[in-house]
Amino acid sequence: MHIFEFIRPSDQAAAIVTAAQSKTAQQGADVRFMGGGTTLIDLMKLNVETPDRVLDINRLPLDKIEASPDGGLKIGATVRNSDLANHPRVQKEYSVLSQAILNGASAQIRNMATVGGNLLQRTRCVYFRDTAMPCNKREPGSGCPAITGHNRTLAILGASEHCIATNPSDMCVAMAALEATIHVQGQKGPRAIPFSDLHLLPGNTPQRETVLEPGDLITHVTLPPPVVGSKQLYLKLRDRASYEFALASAAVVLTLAAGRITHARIALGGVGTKPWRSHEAEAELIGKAAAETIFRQAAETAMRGAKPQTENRFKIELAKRCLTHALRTAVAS
Amino acid sequence: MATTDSPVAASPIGRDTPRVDGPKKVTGLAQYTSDFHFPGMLYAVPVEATIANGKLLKLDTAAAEKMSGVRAVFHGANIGKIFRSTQAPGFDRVCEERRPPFEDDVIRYYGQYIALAVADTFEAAKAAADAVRATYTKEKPNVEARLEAGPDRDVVLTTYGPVPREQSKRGDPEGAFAGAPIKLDETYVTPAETHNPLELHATTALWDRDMLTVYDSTQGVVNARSVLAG
Repeated sequence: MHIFEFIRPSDQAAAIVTAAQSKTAQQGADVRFMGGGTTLIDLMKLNVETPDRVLDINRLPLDKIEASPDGGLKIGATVRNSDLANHPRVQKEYSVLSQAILNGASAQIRNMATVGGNLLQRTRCVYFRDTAMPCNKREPGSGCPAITGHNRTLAILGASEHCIATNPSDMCVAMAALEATIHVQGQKGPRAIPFSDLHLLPGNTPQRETVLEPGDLITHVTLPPPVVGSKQLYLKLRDRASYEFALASAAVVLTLAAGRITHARIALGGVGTKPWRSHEAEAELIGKAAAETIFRQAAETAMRGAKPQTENRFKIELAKRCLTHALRTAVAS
Repeated sequence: MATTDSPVAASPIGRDTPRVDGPKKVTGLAQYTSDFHFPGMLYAVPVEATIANGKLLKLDTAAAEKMSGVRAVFHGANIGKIFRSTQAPGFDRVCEERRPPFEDDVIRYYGQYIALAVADTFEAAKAAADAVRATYTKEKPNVEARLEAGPDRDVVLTTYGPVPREQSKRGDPEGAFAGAPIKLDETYVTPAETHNPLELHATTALWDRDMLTVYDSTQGVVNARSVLAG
């Protein structure tokens, strides 16, 4: 582990000023905010993250879950994953989020991990985590051995010739389906980022994972008012039943009227380089009578652009079945 | 001697039996080798090879040696001669890797020790070990990614080449079975049980004049003593 300075600011403005001195934005930066530390400290021990300064934001007043004026929910950045998943309104009105979180990691990790940190969770690609190997995300320009190497768990959607790393977050998949908004306080004041605009595709800059700039502090996340009468489901398929990342997952939010689908939000996990919202699959469903053929058609559409690597061709069919099953189960619920 | 009158203790087989060390382990009170600290103790962390087969060309220890709290970085060129223990008859002085560390520049496996950083704290030693840079000539490692069953069911294919499935046999089991007055022919299956030791690999060595006390993460306490002293 690289020697670093540990700072515990009690004032948000001071934290932002310090973080703004960083040469690059959040991920991989020389000044890092720390929430639960469940990803950051892990990667620091592996020398993948080597910040000179770590700003612990747990003393900032960002740990509340409150009703927002529009009837939605405002979730502070340092709210623990466990607290969010077990919040009565989240369980009742945004259950896909509760399910997604409880399907991730372990109880101990969920007790530490924060909402802000989970939004910026980094990939589990083995080459990224091993400093003896090249990795374009960790060392831009060094190459991507995953493309010809161990890529069974890596992305089939949104990849580039420079990076095929999967976004590992479960929480983010639900946030995408719930159309969350990320609220950031930066040097130039506050701004709101629609969830689908937060993460970037790797392209030829895989080291840049989000639109955040140096000094940008995620203060809270808002969820729009709950979709009345919606059926929500998170389905996660993985190599073992707990404490494992998704090979494919699906978050679905549906409403039906007289057997017809009137509202559909779909996001996929385990398959994309970012949490994967599929507007195309949603369009296949809206206005149609809920039926097996329509579910499968939506799944086919969601995977239309999928590009497999040497070891993960199976994910295309797995993801289709995952989404089909999720839609069928949600409708029947 | 009234042992024949003693009630026979109930067998623990098939019953839940509390481990005597269970409470200590779950409460963190169990002391492992790396939990022993002594005044003035130094900490050493190995630098491990990041290739599986080849040669070590160059070690750059300059940055590591300059780091705060670092006392030394040892490697093949500065550690001197390391005693090579010889195996004794029976299961004594058994050393899995007879070749002492740093003896030559050949890399035989991933993770092989190539240097050792010594510092005032574990953290400083780890940081220094991570700062050592190695250059290698790489060769293709002798590994098979896909171990498939061969055509001959009496032969098992391994990374060391084919080995006979039956490696040891005594007496005449087929004849004894055929001639047995009572026969039981059953198949017993055990699930895969993975061995997950909690303890991290560590050795704590304490010199007091001519006396050396060693705390070690080992399954063979007597053997470890014999290897060190023999």
